[in-house]
Amino acid sequence: MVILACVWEVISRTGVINPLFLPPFSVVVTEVYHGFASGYLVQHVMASLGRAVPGLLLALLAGVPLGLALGTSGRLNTFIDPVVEVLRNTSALALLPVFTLMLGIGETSKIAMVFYAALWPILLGTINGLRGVDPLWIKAGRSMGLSGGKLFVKIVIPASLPSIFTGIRLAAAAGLLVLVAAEMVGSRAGLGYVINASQLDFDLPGMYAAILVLSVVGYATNAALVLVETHFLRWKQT
Amino acid sequence: MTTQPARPIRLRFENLSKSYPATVRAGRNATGNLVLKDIELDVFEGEFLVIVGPSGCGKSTLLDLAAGLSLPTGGRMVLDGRTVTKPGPERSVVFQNYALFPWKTVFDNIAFALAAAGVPRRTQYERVRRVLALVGLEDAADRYPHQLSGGMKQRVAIARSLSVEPEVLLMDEPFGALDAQTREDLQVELRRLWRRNNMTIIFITHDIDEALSLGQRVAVMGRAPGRVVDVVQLPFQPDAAVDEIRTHPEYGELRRYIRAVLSHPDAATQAAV
Repeated sequence: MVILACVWEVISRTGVINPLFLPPFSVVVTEVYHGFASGYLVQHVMASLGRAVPGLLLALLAGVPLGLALGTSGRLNTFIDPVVEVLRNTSALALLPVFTLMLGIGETSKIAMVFYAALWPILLGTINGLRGVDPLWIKAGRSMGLSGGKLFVKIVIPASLPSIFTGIRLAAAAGLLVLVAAEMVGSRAGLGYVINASQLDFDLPGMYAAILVLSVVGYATNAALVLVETHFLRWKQT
Repeated sequence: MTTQPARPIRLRFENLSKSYPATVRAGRNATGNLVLKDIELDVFEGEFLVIVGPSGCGKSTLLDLAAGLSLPTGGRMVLDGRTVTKPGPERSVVFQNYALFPWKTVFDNIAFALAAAGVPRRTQYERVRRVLALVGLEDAADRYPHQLSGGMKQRVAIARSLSVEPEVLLMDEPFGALDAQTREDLQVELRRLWRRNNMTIIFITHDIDEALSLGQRVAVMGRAPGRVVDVVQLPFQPDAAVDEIRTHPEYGELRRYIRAVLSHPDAATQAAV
């Protein structure tokens, strides 16, 4: 990370890449600092998070139960499986105009975009988790006298958690990606908007500052999820 | 070869058959897959019975039926005079691949079985400690299964099964995945636990030496369809050490006989009991 920053600084300062197009790292960092000090960047980060977090939470609330239902019921699964496959291979970005058309250019359509993009990784992670449950654990649970709901809550769900968590992390990344694109196209706030608007104003330090902040937000989100994950999955072999 | 001691019968395989429905691929003429045919076998109270058979003879299916994990398609499985229809806390199963829950510590794995059996929380701690001491793993209580060796995992699995104080312990090739040294250690330990706890044990294996070292009687199975070919009464004392058993004058002859029956079921000197 440090090396990357140094290389960036050097190639810009020495003119290998025109500093007009790639301002030195230190300049961008200063820009970030000013952005936060003035509250300008804070406002846009909050705008982005205000869309990403509800979208992800909704995807979680819908995806996990839906995945559990689909993964448990064989018949439901064979029926729904093709539908899921088609929908998840339909790029969320391709649907951007559709969402805008249906839900307007306001917050709702952005949150819906994040929701849509994040839903599939969570759904598939949950279904895969259920498929990966070792039948021997079920057998052991049954031999102890557990059945039905207890078996599901005490054995099937804990055994599926690793895969569900992987799905959640992929979902967060997918959600952010789509959100930025949506903000670039039709929004007056958020990091995606800042990146696009700065570029149009030829405020390149401002653009890079927003990109840098975006990377940090993505990185921090992932790190936070990993932290939660390791807490719940202490038992995993690492 | 069989002399039946006058002991109460704990488990009875009564004219038991098990077949799985014909698969679609087998076509409409298929009558289904007969895994076990007319199994007649009594297991006495406090007995250590070993079932030995070639792979694919349905011996694991037999154990599932005794555990109540699956139901017979013919005949019935009887425990203390009542037909078995589901698993119960008086029977406990030890599986070959341990079946420990990787997301739970050793302590929690055992406490889980206790909770499932309805043991109140406040007595769980003491009981977990006691069974861990029994298998020599007091110090491993807070570890996760992946931090244990195969032998330790199977010790935990045995401790977990013993924790509910079962009357019948059903063991499905429990030492099959262990190295020779660990396997012998655990055989000795199991004999000790059996003498101490006065349990009835049904132990499944494909290893003749293991069958001879552990059991009081050995039921030999044949396959296609799975059936009991002969039941051999072993002459060894219940408190004999494994080494004593292996050097017993009759050991070699018994070993040869069981081996012969396994490869040629017709070699059995008498029909199954």
